[in-house]
Amino acid sequence: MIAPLPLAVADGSSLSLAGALGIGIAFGWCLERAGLGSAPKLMGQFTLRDMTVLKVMFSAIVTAMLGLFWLSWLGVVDLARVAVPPTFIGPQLVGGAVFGAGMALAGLCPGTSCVAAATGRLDGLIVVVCFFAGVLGTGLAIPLMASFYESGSRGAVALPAALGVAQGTVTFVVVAGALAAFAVAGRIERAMAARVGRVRP
Amino acid sequence: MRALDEEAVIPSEVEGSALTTVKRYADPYLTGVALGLVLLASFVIAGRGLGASGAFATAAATTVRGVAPEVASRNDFLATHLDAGGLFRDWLVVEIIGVVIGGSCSAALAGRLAVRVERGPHAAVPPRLWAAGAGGAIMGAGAVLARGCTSGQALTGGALLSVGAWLFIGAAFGAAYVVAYLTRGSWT
Amino acid sequence: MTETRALVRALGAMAAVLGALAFGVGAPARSQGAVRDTVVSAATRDALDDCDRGGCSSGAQSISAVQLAEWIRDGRPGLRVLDIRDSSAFATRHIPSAESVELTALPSVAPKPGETLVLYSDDDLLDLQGAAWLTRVGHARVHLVRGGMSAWMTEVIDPVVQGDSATAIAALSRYFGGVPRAPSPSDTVSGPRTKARVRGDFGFVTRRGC
Repeated sequence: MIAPLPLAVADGSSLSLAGALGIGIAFGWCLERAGLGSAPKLMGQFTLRDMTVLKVMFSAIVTAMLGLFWLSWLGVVDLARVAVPPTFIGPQLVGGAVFGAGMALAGLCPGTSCVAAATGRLDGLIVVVCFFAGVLGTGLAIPLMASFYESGSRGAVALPAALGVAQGTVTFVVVAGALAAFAVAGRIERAMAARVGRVRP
Repeated sequence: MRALDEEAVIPSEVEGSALTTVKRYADPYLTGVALGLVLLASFVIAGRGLGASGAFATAAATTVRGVAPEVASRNDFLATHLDAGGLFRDWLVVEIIGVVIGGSCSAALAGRLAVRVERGPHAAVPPRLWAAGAGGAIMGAGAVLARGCTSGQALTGGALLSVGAWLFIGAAFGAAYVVAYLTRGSWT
Repeated sequence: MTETRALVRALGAMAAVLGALAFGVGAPARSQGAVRDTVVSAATRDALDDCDRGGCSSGAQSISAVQLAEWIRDGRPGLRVLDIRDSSAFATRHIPSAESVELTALPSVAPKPGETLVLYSDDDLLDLQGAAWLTRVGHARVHLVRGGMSAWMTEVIDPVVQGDSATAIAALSRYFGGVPRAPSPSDTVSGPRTKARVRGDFGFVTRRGC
């Protein structure tokens, strides 16, 4: 009998890092293929002209979410061994807003800025360097806001547990929401294209 | 896979305002599914999802440790990003190196490698670079507070249905739309 | 172009079907948890009153969190891990494979041959009480986890590993999604570093970052 995945490979071992490299390469490949390494294209999402970010992101979320659900159901994956990031309500709301504002200014997010820099985009390189500086500076300042930083801690809680519904229910709602969003996205793109007078296939 | 790369013409930038035709990007839905499979593979193989900001956090923590070890160990945020094995034994750091390799390979094969400053059709280079810098630093602050970025929280946490991740998605996208509207001249 | 369209539509349809099926199935597991009978019979209640009047000793052996981790990982036959904290604590995080049983419902846990029960909570006295009850109603092998849930977090999930057993404990820790650390010079000072570890002990919090 195959042991339930994920594999119990030691953190920091060569095998685990080989996996990290391979996964990273595939990740970077997909981001560049979708055009997300290009700030104007990425920002098209936030000017409502190009819904690529929404399409890529939610297709990915739905795929991985459904994959995990069914692999777990089949007994192939042990969900208890997949690390869920912990929830800190205040910091993630505030941090999220700050992050989003920064992203709209920069035109790229950390991952896509690496792709942009890797493909020669100087703006991407600047984002990478300044993102590092921002992380460093804020990290050093954390002791000054320690109580806020640790506030709203709920642990590695997922929506089903928090809402008191079955995981399958939340999964279904996310899928339905994503499909509905895709339908609307198509309409928005066409409407904006007509308005702006530019043809965007 | 080649047929799937036949897609839209890409927006304008570079010198002048003429629309430039570059090799088409792949279908966003299909690429999204592919990305989802990569994410799923990460869960299944490594028991964790993707990320980006964590690698920067580890780099920052390692830098501080190199300069002032006591500062690093007494700081909650930095201490939790220190690895006994060093920077290049950190999963996320190696993963981000992979992202750089994968991104450049994909671009190379598609003829999209180019040294340039990408910006909106009516934007000049200096303001673009200032915005990139300021935006990057602000994102850094947000990522530290939120314990992640779009890759780690929105994508990974989103797929795992983490409460904080979905709060992050809402807050980040909301703020991005507001700021994009306020700076709409830069991109349109 | 149209093959792309068709493929996208097909994937969308698949997602819709899988999502709908997920809604129907509910939980991503084939076997739903055991249904526990929590009705305490009169006879059991009498036996327990004996215990409360100071009659019985627990007769239960305490084991370390690491030992329990090994038992769970190795699939020790007949192992049942019982979490006797309240259900919200259980929902926040619990030892993998544990069942949530309220302390007062313990006496109604029927003894089965070949079973090994392991009890844990956040309170040593509760553990002793629970173990006493279980032994009283006939369970042969009852153990307590020394240090309870906190010990699980500090010894299995976030252990500092060194010495001969380091590799073994590190591997065990990772099996449960933990992040073992080597001791660093700053470990001798139990300052914010230690604080951060304990404060973050909810669910499967691993120091992996995003």
